Amino acid sequence: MKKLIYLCIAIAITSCTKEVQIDIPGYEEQMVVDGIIETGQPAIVLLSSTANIYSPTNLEAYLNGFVSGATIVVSDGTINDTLVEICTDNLPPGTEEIAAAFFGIPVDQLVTLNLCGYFSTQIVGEVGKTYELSVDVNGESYTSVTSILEPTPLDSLFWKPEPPLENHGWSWAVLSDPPGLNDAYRWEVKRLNILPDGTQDPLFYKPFGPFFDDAFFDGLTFEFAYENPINFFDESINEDYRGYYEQGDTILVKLSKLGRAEFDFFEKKYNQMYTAGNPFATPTNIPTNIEGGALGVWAGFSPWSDTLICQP
Amino acid sequence: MNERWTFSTSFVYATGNTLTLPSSWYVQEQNLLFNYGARNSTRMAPYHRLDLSAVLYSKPFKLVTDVTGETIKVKKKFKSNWAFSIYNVYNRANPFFLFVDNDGDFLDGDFKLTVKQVSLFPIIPSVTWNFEL
Repeated sequence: MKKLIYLCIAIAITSCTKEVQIDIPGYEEQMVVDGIIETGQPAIVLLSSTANIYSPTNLEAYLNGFVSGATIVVSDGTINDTLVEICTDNLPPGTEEIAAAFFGIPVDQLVTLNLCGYFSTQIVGEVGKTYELSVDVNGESYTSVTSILEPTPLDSLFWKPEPPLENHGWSWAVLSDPPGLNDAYRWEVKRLNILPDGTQDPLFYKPFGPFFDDAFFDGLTFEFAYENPINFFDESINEDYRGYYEQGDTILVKLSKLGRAEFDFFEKKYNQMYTAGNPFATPTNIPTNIEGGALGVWAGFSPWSDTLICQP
Repeated sequence: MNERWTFSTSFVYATGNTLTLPSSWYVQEQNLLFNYGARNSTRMAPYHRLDLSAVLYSKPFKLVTDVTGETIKVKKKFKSNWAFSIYNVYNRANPFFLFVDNDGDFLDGDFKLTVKQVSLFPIIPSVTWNFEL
């Protein structure tokens, strides 16, 4: 009976919905800084601007939102590296995979788009170092600081079938969190299987809730699981098996450490994404660690990786 | 109007409720994110509706012939009435809440953001029969 009532309410609400054009004040164009530096990788910064809620959201609008001609400097205390602007339709050879992994877009699609970013050529991320970012564009200056922290390795990484399934299960891990609050992590996976066309998938995928901190497990050792984000929305797979790793799957698990301010950005970002479209969700702006009035984040990640072969 | 018919009408008006909607969007890591304006900076359309109703009462008396053959009026013990009403006569879609909806895929070129309004009750006619003993 309850389900029938909820269904009737849902039908009533759906049938009484219409598009409206209402005045939403408060729009001011702001710069968005999307920067990342990871151990062993160059610094990558994308610069774009916010758009009015009613402005077009097509690909052309997205590409036109990127800002060119900025002066971006990353400093590790010794070297001041002025980042070079490179566009994806003119990538230096050998950087296609890095760019594809960063943008989350397959290489063959990426090289047809004119996505422009700024890349460091002298600085590569190192554990223990602090990196200052300085962006000068359109007469405005924005700064930020991030660090690459000491990574925390997993104690163990394993797979086991999830009853009643016999050949499908999740990835499990045991983590010993260092004592002291504010340890924050990001979980990502990459498929290592060779695809039918003989290539390998260069992208990293994030599951639901990929960012977590030690607020509830500070200094403890605990076991946790993550679903398979690679096939979660794959409609070619039987829905009973979506979100599971099949026995024999091989994946690379990357657990990255990040700082408190950076975690605050990503935690609020995913909160907003998961409640998008829910009219009863709390409208919350995503905090930023960029000074000067820009949005976005300058984040340092220190990854620890291991290969998981899904066998009992 | 007379001893059998009663008519009434009601008109309600209220300025629209305020809410907080995103004023802009931006992209970070290929995810579209919102930036909200000040709290309660958006006001919905005003709420107003007109209701009409009419009640038809049963005849209060019945004619009875007494022992002398005279016809007299006797008060009925069983009383009833029919109530006819129309809620929201001009079928206004009053806003209940607003939200920002998204549809399509960015890379496919058909991604669209729209502000949508949800309304609750359209025109609702009703008929009620009441009785008392």
